[in-house]
Amino acid sequence: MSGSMSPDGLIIQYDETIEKALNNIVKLLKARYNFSKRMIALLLLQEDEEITQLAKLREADFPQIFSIIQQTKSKYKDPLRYVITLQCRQRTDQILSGVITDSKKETRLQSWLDHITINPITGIPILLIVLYFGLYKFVGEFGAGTLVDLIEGNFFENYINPWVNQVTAKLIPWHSIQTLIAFDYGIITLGLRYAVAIILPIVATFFLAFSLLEDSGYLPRLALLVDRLFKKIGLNGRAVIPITLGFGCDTMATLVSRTLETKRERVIATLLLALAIPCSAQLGVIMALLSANPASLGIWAGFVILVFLLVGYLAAQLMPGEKPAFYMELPPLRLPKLSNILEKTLSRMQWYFLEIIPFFILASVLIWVGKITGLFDAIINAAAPLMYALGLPSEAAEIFLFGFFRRDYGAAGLYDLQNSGALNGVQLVVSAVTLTLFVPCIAQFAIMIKERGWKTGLAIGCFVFAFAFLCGIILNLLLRSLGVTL
Amino acid sequence: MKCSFCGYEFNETSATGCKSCPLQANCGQIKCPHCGFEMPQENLVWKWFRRRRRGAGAGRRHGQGKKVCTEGMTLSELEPGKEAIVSHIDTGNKSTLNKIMALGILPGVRVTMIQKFPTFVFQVGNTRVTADEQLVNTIMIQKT
Repeated sequence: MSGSMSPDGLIIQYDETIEKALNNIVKLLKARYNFSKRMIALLLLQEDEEITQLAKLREADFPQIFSIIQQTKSKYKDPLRYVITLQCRQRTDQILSGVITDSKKETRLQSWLDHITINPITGIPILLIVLYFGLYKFVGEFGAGTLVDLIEGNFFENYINPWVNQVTAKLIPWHSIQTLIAFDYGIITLGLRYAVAIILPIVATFFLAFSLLEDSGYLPRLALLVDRLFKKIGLNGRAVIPITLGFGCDTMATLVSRTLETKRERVIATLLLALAIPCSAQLGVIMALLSANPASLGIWAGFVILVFLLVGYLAAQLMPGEKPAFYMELPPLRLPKLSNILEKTLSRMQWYFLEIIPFFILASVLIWVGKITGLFDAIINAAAPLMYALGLPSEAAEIFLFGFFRRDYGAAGLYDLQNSGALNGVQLVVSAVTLTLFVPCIAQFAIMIKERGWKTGLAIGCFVFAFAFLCGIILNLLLRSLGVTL
Repeated sequence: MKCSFCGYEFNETSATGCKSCPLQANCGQIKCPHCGFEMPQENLVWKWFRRRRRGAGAGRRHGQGKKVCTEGMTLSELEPGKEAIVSHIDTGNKSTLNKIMALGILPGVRVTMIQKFPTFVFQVGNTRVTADEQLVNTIMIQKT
């Protein structure tokens, strides 16, 4: 093999058989392409899907080209793509060996950090610390707690909402239209407030932490540490990104699950996110409700983790399709650059915001329709037997319904029920578990349908709905028959 | 292992089951990627026994320490810190092959194993790669 410089650059000469095939194909190619004909011929020989499709449409002599490819293929034991890449590589090595000298530049600190982050003994504690401070402390407490309180509790509740309510009450005479725009479930007072005051701070802090991890090169290390565990539930290490995102906001995580490689993984990830991963809003409520009694908190956490692993395991066994493969390049650890991080965070926030806002508006419109038509009352009445099976008072149906549309409302309802003494310890745990397993909110449901399509999205939604109540009923029966008092 | 029908040598971990079958990995059959012939999977106990015998036998024949017989080794058998040369890639599955080639893993390239648990980490040229057992098992190596 030898290379020669031509006016267009370097041309790599392959072995005789391939060169002959290339020349024959080039002669047969009649249409115009964006690359040179030799390049097209090379891609055809390597059975590149896109180019083959293109050539099929454009070339009259495609059958002849196809037979050349088949003939050439039969002369090698390995796929042509492999043979060609191999020859290309040999030539590259020849060229590079003359001009490159190797020098090691890695410092001792770097290689030490490198080592401890991938070694399981030191790596897993580091992983837990990173998740605790990066996700729980910064996103969960600072973003979802402090910032949300400041923007929503202070700014919206005290200034914007009263003002919007006043203006709509003055300008629009019809009560039903008023409630569409303002008051408890209005587009501005609920939809926009949710997007700006609750989601935005969480997303901003999350993306900041995420960009920091991403730029430092830590994420692939995180993925490699959890890959073995994730394989058991039909996912691979890469899925650690959407799953951990889910603890921030399941809606965003479902959007991000499109980065997974196969359809099978995307469906499993969507299912697990909808079912067993509580988002920061749910986590906050449940922690507040159950933390008074560590035993109930333990039962809740144990049961949800069990469901997560069980459903993941079953999904991995039952879903058809190729098993996930995990491979990643492991970049060296680097000190992130502040300007890059800020830029990334901002552009991601913009992207997310534009995707999510229509769904929040849709949610408030749907609530408005449900309220006006009396549909909600009908659903609450119909759900009474279900509540009875869960061992809950019939008022609890309202929590589940409104919790789906407006999470803080559902939580507040749960607080009220608890304070009025209507719920005992067991009932509280059962309703917390069911609320966690339930589809977190209407925005996530809408995104599920948008991302996975009508059929899959609805199927996952129905399954999660039925399974959440089934688990609640089982837990209720279990706790009662064991005589547990909490 | 070697296909008992056509004699094609391949790695059994990459050849279990047919796609789209819900039983997938656990049906106890191995399908030869070359001719499609199905044969029963080797019993775990017997496999362990045979591996030990082969290692011991080779050692005795050459009058040296263990693990001299390195032909047909997969990358997953390389000890951490050791270096080897990729001899060939088990080209059964096209998409797997494309992934491996995209990472720059090709015959003749030097690989150094860094870590084997929980996931494989190894150095190829100037890149460090992490991959699961399934993928690593398709890379055949020769010790230097």
